Amino acid sequence: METRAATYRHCEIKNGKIILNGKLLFEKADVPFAKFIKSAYKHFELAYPKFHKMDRLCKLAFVTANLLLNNQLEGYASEDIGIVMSNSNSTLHTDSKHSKSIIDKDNYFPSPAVFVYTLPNILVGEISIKYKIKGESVFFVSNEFNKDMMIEYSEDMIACGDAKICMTGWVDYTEADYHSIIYLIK
Amino acid sequence: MAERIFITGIGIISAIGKGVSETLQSIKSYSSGVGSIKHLKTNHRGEIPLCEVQYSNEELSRLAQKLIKSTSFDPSKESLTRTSLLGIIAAQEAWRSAGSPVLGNGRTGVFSGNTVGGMDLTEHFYAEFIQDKLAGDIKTMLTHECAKSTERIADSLGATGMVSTISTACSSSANTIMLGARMIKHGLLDRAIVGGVDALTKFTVNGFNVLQILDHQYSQPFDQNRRGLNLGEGAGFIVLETEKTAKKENILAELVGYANSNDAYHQTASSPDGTGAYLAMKGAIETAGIKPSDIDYVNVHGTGTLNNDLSEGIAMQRIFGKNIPKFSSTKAFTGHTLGASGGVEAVFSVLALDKGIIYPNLRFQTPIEELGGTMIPETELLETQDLKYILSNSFGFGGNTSSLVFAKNKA
Amino acid sequence: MEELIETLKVQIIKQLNLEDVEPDEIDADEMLFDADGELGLDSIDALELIVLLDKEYGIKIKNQEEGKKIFHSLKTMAEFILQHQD
Repeated sequence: METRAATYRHCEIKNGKIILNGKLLFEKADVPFAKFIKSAYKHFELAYPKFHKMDRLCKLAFVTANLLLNNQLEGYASEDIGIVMSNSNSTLHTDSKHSKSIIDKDNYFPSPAVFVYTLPNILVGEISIKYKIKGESVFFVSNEFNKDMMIEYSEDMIACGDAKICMTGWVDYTEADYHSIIYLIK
Repeated sequence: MAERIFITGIGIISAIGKGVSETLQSIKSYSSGVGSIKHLKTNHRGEIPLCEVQYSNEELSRLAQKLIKSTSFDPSKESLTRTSLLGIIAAQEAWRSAGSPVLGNGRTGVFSGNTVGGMDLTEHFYAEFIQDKLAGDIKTMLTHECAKSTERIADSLGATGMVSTISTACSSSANTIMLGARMIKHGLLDRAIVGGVDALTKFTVNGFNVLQILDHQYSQPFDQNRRGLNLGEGAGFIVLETEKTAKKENILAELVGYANSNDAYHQTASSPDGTGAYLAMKGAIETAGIKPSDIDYVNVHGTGTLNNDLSEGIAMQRIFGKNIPKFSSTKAFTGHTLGASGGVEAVFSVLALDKGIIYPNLRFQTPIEELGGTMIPETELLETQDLKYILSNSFGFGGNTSSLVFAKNKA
Repeated sequence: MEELIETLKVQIIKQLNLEDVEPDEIDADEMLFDADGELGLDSIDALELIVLLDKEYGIKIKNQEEGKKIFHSLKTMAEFILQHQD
């Protein structure tokens, strides 16, 4: 399975590195995530003002998806593109941000722009909005990235005709660490 | 691949009752679950109505303990969240109504849809914990994740097959039903207990309140003067089985169609042309191998927000043209139970087929002008209906839209 | 009024995470929610502005329709604040 996964186009972001198909595209080590992802956004000239409003999990997913896709969806109908995503910490970072805003009675200002990011499938939504993807999508929450199962699941969606191409992967963010890897299954 | 998927059990708990029979009684007496806040500790008491399950956590815990027969799971030794307790109670009922099959051979999966996890305990723990690091029981935090409640449900049933949690906002549990059906069709499982659960928390009430989509009165889905949704809580589970394992006497209905798509429009709002909803309904009807005109009743998503009901109505007009089937939103009874809603409404759909009933859309008065004033939901309980196919819609934030088609049992 | 508009520009940029937008680039008469406008604001941003009015000026807006008129431009927003402040 490892070899089969590797044959699919994939993009990975971890430890301040962005890697496409095993090749290092961008590196900025030893800076906090917010800085790292912003410099990647600028470096690749992604030019999407809504990016700045996303939470960190979505920013991570968004940059990964952008570099992975890079014109790869041309020729596919929007209904034929599927998204199968997963992570283990769901939207924990944003959840606690929202929680903090409603705990203190004297400084009580829950923010709609924070709350909308307390659902992991919002990152699927953000990618779908950017690329006009209208096919089937799902978000799994599991302890670890079950790569074999996720890839098999996507291949099966394609075999059954539920999609013709599928973005499949793992996007996880916590205060302590972050990791994304997305495969493009055809 | 040609495997048919039968529904052999159903279980439900919501603001209108614990269990199928209490739920049916509430529906027959037109009594809605919406009311002023009794259990949730929030500043919004008296200001925002909710659809709370009528039991306290202590009462739920006692109810759950009575149900659990598994020897490896002792709820009195666990810190169980309201989410887990509601899920256990509904899943246990579903399993019993399926004839209490033995689940320990690894061939029964448990899939649950959920959005808030153990937030109900976490937010109380956290408020004290930031004042005093020794306050409260730190073990509570282990119950926080969404997936924990699904594991607890599986443990309570003694199910040893695949366990998974789907979190795609308000379509979560409709998507677990799709997942279960596919796993069975591929021969990976014989049976799946699928659905979802969500408990009310300050987290959700505050979030939806700042999005300004909560109705401060009792909601009026599909009404011209609708003002928003009432949040609810609860759980709904159904048991899916293969033709081989399903016992004839337990079969309630068949799951024949399902589809999911993305609206690709906005993080929280539905598109003006209802694209996602349209694609989901169209896909589900196609996988069922039927025509739109075969649908006898649509259990709509119908949250009562300005945006959802208009967008969903437009999508229905695109699918059905002028011949809109009978439809209603049962959220006027239960409130919007978020991650649980697809499961709760799957139970409603199966019950409707089994009993030949169509639910009233409570508090409806005036049809929506933008929809031509002709989309009028059922407002009376209809009985002795000959229903063959029911379409159930569940649409979530992030543009995630799912539809399911249930068929009357012909076996 | 002028001063309030300048303060609002800074507050809006911060509240709405408008990176790469400088206060000078927002015109006081420009429509804030113009679909083709440069700011690219959406309905969530409108809700954020309601939070901003509450947090910074103690003014509560309960209804989004009302918000639409108030948030037409920076100028209408400033006028509304001046009218409603104690």
